[in-house]
Amino acid sequence: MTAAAFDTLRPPAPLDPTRDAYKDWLHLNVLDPGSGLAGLFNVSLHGAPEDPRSRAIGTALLHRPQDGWLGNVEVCGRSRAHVGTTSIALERVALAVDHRNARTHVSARLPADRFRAQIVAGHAAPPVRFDQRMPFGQGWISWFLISRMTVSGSVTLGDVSFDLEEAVGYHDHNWGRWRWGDDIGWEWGVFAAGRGAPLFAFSRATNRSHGVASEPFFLADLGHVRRQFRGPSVTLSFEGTLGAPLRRLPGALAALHQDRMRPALPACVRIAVDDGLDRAALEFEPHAAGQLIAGEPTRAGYGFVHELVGDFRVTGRVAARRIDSRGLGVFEYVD
Amino acid sequence: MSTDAGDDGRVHPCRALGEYIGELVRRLDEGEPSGGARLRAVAGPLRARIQVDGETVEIGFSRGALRIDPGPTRRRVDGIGRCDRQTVLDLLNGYMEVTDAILGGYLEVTGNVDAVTRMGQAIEVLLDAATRVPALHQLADDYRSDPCLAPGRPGPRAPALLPTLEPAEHALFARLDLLP
Repeated sequence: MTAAAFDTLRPPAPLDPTRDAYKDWLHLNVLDPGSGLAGLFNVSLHGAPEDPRSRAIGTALLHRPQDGWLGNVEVCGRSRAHVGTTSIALERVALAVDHRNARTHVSARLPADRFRAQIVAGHAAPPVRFDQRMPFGQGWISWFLISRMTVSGSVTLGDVSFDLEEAVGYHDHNWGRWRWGDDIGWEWGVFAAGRGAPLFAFSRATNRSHGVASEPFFLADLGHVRRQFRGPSVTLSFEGTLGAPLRRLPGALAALHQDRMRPALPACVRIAVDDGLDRAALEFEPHAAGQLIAGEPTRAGYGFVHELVGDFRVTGRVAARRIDSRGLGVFEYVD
Repeated sequence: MSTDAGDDGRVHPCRALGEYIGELVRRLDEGEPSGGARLRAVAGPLRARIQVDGETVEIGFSRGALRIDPGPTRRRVDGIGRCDRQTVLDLLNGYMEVTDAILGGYLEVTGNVDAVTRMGQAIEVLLDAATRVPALHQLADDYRSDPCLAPGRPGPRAPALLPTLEPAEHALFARLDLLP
């Protein structure tokens, strides 16, 4: 099934007084539970378009259980990136969403890391929209997601290629106004049991300490039917502290933040949903983590985006169907 | 200085170590003058010797102007920083942490406490400003792709020095939470 949708980058209007806090972010995640490959590809814009300090950031990372994190992050001035209606292309990492043909394209070429990726993801589910401006620190955030995508393509490391034909894709787009270093954070995750199998997504915005959180959102996509859970029907809890070493990027910002070498990340994430009709319990155990450091382009301030990769199991009953699925997930913990 | 087109299609020049340091400070002054002022305040009158592979320079500020001398000279320096190009690339590319570089013996910083602290602060000023000064990122790209320097080797390398630490050193590093 393909799903036509409409979504574009949301650059600020010329007289928008908050344009210096502008952010726009396109993601494609690919998960292959069979091989354990988890790919994180995203491109983002930070700061007012005409400001020479504004940045574009491209991330192309693949986690392979045998090798750890492969790939890297590219950072450049925004003026050096090619920005389209639904695409952002840096010199080495590019992502384009073609809604007309229901496809998302990723290209990454990082010769210093011997890393190349060429991926096309077909949109296989209608989008979920959060167009309203949700409060986020002193600003706001909105997002758009396509929960299920077919994937074709591969990632090549040196002379070795990793085929992604069996992977499941997930796309989302976040935009809004916030400044890295403000009192903001979020928790987000996507969990895929495999091609044609159930997929689950979770998200909520938080403050930096994660002590205050917005209404959570949980999506159960069973292929033929989807259920959304919000608010008090969703609970999240963390357990333990993850001991896995971090790959921290970009390296220069990691060097600047030695105090963030060992953040307290959860060793287990539990999400439970129960709205009286449907219920499910998801348990995610990460086995690897990366830390992406985002700097605010117009003033000193940093955000730390932790990407946790691991296995999950979900059990429950959704849409009159009993579910018991295992697979591969990515959980993002931002502070 | 000569030039060459890199993998990204841009032209990357050949630069000597002193030219890279001069460009760092020039671009900082141009992109974020307050950062340049902080750098001068941190450095004060101190002189440092920087060695990367076979190149050595001695640097310091004199009446606000950066002075770069080919080294080593017989003049007294307050601090010395020494590493190789691969270590710089591993740090820039996120394959090595500063702590690992020091513990692994890949990065040596010597001097009295004040000088070493100031050298660290000066690097912090540059790294922090690089977030807001795209020209500093371009300089890092130039360094990665400098056609006159050896290409970097991708991937992580294991710490080398750690197994040879004396037990007392190991205990000290552990107490200070400095072990990887």
